[in-house]
This record gives sequence, structure tokens and C-alpha cells, in this order.
Amino acid sequence: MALINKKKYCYFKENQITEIDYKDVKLLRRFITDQGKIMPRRVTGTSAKMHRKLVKEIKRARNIALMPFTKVNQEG
Amino acid sequence: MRYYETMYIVNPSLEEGQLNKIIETLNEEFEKNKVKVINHYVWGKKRLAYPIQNHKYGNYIIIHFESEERKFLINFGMVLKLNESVMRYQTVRLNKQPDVLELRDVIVENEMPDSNQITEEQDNTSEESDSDNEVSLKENDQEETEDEDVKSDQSEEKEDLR
Repeated sequence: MALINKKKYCYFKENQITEIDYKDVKLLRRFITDQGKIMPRRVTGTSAKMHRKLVKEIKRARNIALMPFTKVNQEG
Repeated sequence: MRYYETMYIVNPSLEEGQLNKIIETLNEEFEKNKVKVINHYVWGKKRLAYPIQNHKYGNYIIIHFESEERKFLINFGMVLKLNESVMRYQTVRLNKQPDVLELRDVIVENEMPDSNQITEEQDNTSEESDSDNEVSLKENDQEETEDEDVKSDQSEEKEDLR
């Protein structure tokens, strides 16, 4: 079985984003699963530096109820 | 100087007058401590990602300010904590100086502002109706057992207490 090496690129590097804001829920939503979990770096291809920032901002957004901690057994 | 951003959620059922009162009291708190406020504006009424105190929606308000003392942050947190209409708050340190927003620039992003209250009311009424049904069922049971009137009365009192 030959694996197809499809290279993933950091979303933030491609779009030249250096700062992430927890208020920008639209952006953060790209990096969580349907359940509300933060997607791993190996899936999204985000650079380590930006992933650290991303995780921080997602957690901030969760605290202030902009993003869900979990979506199991909830409406919507 | 350090720049901070505080975001807090106010009870959505409050009227505009009450909301302005909260904002004014907080501004007075800033003046007392001589902290410079850069922005203080309502971000909008939004749907919460999860219910807080049984509310599905919340009024988000954002403050930008600059301060040197850490003591103020603790005191300010206490003020927000003790205010009953503030459902939740979070203070974040900013790396850069925030831009001064004029009233024109502030975009109030309301998500379905009119339908909020209706849906919440509907939810409440449906819950009430469910509980009514339960009570009526219990009452029927009690009517069947006429001999135990005294006991049924006691049980009704218990229900009231609940």
C-alpha cells in the first residue's frame, strides 16, 4: 500500500495571521471537531507555535461561553 | 503600562436602563481607582454555547483599560463577582494597545434579538406545563384513595414545599 503524501500546511502561515483573538469564533471553529474537541496538530497541520496560541484562545472562548466545552446531548 | 480586556456577560432579561446602570457603576469604579478606560461598549446579545444559570442568551460587554497595579484587577474582579446580574467575566492581558473605538465603529452583533425572549419564554412555559401535568396526575391518585384524605393533604403540602 503506497501512502499518498499529501502535505498539510499551517492555516495561519498561509494566510499570514500572527495573532489569534478569542472573540473570532468563526476562525476558531475550524479547529474543533463536531463534539467541540480541539483537533490535533497532526490533523490540521498547524505549526507548533500557532497551535499553542490557538489552544489558549479556544480555552478562553470556552470560559466565556463563546464556544462549547462539549456538544454531546445538547441542542444544535 | 499594561493593557487589559475584560469581557462580561450580563443577564439578557435586563432592560436597557438597567444595563446602562451597570456600565455606569463600573465606570465609577474605574474613576475611583484612577484607571484609564479606553473602550467600554456592548458587543451584542449572543447565544451562549452552553447555558449559564439557565439562560440561553447573554449580553456581552467589552472593556479595554490600562492599568499598572495588579491590586486593581483583583478588586475589579470582586466587583463583577458580587454584581448579581453579571453572569460571567474574564480578564485578558493584551499584547498591544487597543484601538480607540468611536460609537460609530461599534457594531452591535445581535443574534436574533427579538426571538430570544420568545424562545426563552416558550421553554419556561413548556416546563411549567409538564410539571402541571405531573401534579394533576398525583391529585387523581389521591382522589381514588378517599379513605386516606389526611395523608393526601400532607403529601400535597410536601409538594408545595418542593
